[in-house]
Amino acid sequence: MGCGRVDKAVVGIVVAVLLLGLIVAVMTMINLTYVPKWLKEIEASHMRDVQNQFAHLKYAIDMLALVRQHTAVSVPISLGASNVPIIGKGRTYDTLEIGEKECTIIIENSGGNEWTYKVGRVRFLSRNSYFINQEFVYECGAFILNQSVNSTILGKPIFTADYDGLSFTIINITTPGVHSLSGHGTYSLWVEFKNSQGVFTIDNVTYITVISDYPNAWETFFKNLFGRSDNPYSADMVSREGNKVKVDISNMPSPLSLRYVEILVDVSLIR
Amino acid sequence: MGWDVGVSEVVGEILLLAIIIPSVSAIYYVVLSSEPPQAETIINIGADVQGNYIVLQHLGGEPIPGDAYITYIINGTEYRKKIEDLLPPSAKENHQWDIGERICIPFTYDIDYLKNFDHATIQITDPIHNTILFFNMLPMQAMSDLEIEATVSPDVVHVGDTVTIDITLKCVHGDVGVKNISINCSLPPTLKHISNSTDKGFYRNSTGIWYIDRLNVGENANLCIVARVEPVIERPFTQLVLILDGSGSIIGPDWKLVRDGLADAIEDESVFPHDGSVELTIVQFGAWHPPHAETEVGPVVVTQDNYMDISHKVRTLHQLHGGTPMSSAIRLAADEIFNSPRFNKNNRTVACLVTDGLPNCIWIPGTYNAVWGGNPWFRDTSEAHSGSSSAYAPYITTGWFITKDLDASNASVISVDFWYRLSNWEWWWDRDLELYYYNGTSYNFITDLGANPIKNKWLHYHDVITDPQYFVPNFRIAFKSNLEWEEVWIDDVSIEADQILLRDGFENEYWNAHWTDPWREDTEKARDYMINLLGMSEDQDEFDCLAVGSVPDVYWLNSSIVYPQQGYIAPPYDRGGGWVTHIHSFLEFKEAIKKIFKVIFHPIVATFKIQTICGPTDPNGGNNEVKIIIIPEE
Repeated sequence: MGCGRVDKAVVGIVVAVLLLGLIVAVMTMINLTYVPKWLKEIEASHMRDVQNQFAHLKYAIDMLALVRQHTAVSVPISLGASNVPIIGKGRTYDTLEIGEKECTIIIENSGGNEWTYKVGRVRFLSRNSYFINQEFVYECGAFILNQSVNSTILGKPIFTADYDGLSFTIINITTPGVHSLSGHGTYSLWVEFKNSQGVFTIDNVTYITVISDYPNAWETFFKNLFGRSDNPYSADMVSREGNKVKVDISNMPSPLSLRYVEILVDVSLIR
Repeated sequence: MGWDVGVSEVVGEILLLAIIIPSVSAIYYVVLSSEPPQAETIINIGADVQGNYIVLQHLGGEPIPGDAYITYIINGTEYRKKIEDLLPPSAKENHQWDIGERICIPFTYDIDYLKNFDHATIQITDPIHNTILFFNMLPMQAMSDLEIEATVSPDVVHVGDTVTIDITLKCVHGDVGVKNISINCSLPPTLKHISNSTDKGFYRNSTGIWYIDRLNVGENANLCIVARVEPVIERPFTQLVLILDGSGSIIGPDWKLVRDGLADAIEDESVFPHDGSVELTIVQFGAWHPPHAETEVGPVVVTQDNYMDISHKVRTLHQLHGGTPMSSAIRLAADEIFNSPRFNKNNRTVACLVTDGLPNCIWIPGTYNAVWGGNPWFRDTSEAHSGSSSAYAPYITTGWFITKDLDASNASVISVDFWYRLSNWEWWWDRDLELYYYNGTSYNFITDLGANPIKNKWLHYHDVITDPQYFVPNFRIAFKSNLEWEEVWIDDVSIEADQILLRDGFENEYWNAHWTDPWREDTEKARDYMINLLGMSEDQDEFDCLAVGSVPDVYWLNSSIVYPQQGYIAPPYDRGGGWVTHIHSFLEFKEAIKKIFKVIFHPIVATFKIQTICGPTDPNGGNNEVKIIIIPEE
């Protein structure tokens, strides 16, 4: 009777050890092979969410610039991706920045006159572990995506070109509060119409220069616009030197209908 | 019993292990030893057709390996190319397609099969992961801008001379050439065709059609027509009315220059026909009590028998002085022509307004009298909210400054935004600056801007209109100034609804192009009255203006008074009727009026127009017609 009890215990221990080994093997395999892919998917999904939120931010600012009513709207921005359930991994922390006078627009005409505008921007920086790091930027009406190697335009600035000339709404971002916020969670971005100058037409514009940290995005935008066949301009009129993008229309000076709008953006948690 | 149980359990465990170990080994070998499925490539790509390129742009996400390939179908032909081969040189270093990098795939439209180029199918495939990264069907629309130009030589031409007309057709720029182009190059009867030559296509004198089978982008086609200027055998009967400004701004010596210049021109048959083909009416406007218009000459048919009597009458015209009741004069002129026994809608009607000022009187219905007003709003460059100019009303003036009709019929809200400035001087008993909104029938008082106590500072006004009474096709805002020893300025006006209705910083050469006042509006109504009453048509009738000095609003005359529209500034008189001639002083009047009569009575007009093309869309129709006008000298 006593020997029989001892045998049963040995068998149970053997089974338990085998099952434990199997579980550890499977968990290790999942952690090494599949978890990085899941986390990458989650970070990419978070980037898509932020991209949508920035698209809403551009929409809100553009609408305020259009209506120019003294009011404000709030746009949520999500900082950081969430944990993967059960595994408990994947939380990231992002940064939101508001910079003033970060981008310069220079307009010149054939009369030798020059109009210079220094405008601010809103910038989101991710700190991903698996998916490629991305920056979303709202700058002078343009919605820009920047990755480590380059940048591109996701939302066009309010700039048009046709046979009647050019039209440009310059949107300047300013902030009264903190200029930067890092963390995890959803924060409300306060966007308020501050001021505007009515449209005036500059005759015989010869050069438009944009000096930006994202020259590739601006170059791409201008090349796409001027490369179209429904206006008299050409993509060859756009050139880039360092962080300076220049549109040279001196061989066909054109009228430019210009508007300047100032938008206040605030990330302060308490005001 | 005990032994049996122990043995059977051990055997059972061994058997189970023997089953599980091969099974797990088999599963691991077959399933897990193979490479796990790759995560999906997360990428965003944009595509567009720009000119002769399909442009693909990496809009963010992971880079695409250079050995991925693009498959595209254009004109039914499938092409397959490696990404690496299409990347721009600057992007080839890392052998992958990164964010912001553009791939431009050149293609060529085939003008003979343009219908096959209605769309392009694009697919990007990653062969390593065997996944389609992008698929799109891009709409395509070829465009080409054709432009026609014409010149005539020599500049000075007499009847009987031979002239050479050079017509050039250009395919200025575009995606593809144009084929089957028909251009109407008919000559008028006063130009007799002698010969022609062309470097492309053929020209038939009998039809006047110049046909070109094909013109590539950047190419020109030239047609040279040699013709002889023929005398005018039969001139269409013309009812001419001269509307002369006799207001007080014209000093005595200048009035004499007007009378003598006009009389001299009428006496000269090479300038003014005496063959009975012209009925002349002269209306003068001016006077104080009340300002009015009166008929000075005619309507009378000018012949060899009476032209001296008419010129004598002109030489002795008495000046009315006083205000500028322009609208009364235009209405009187219209009625005189209409009531003439010779009036016929098929007659050619020409009205010519000669003025050195702006209208400042409102017509009194049922009469040719008027009520005097004023014109207080000017451009000022001493004060500006932005740019260098603003609209300004000086002291001791009263008047309105009103936007032209703004179509707010589709609006749900209207945003009104502007800046204004008040000078330091204010008198308590008047309202310096009032704002009104117009609902299509009446001007409603909105606010007294002049009541703002802040002076000598730009003040911001912003309002959002939600009252549906203003959502009309002729919405306006109006400023009314009533100033003693004060001044007011307006700048950076912006009115928006579902679209931008008005944006004005008063910076343009024609600073008040978007604005009007009751006096100019009254004149515009009189001009419309004339056009409607006489049934004027664009192809034979005209309303022209001779503006003298710096006061007349040449832009307004050109854009709102002359007929047909669009008007133009002349000389050159190269687009037919509907011109404004601007001279600096009455010293130039004599030569100007001679030239004007020649333009009215002796013009040879030839119009060349692109009629039909086959193929691409022309994005700019404004350069598809050209007109030459030859005015033979004496």
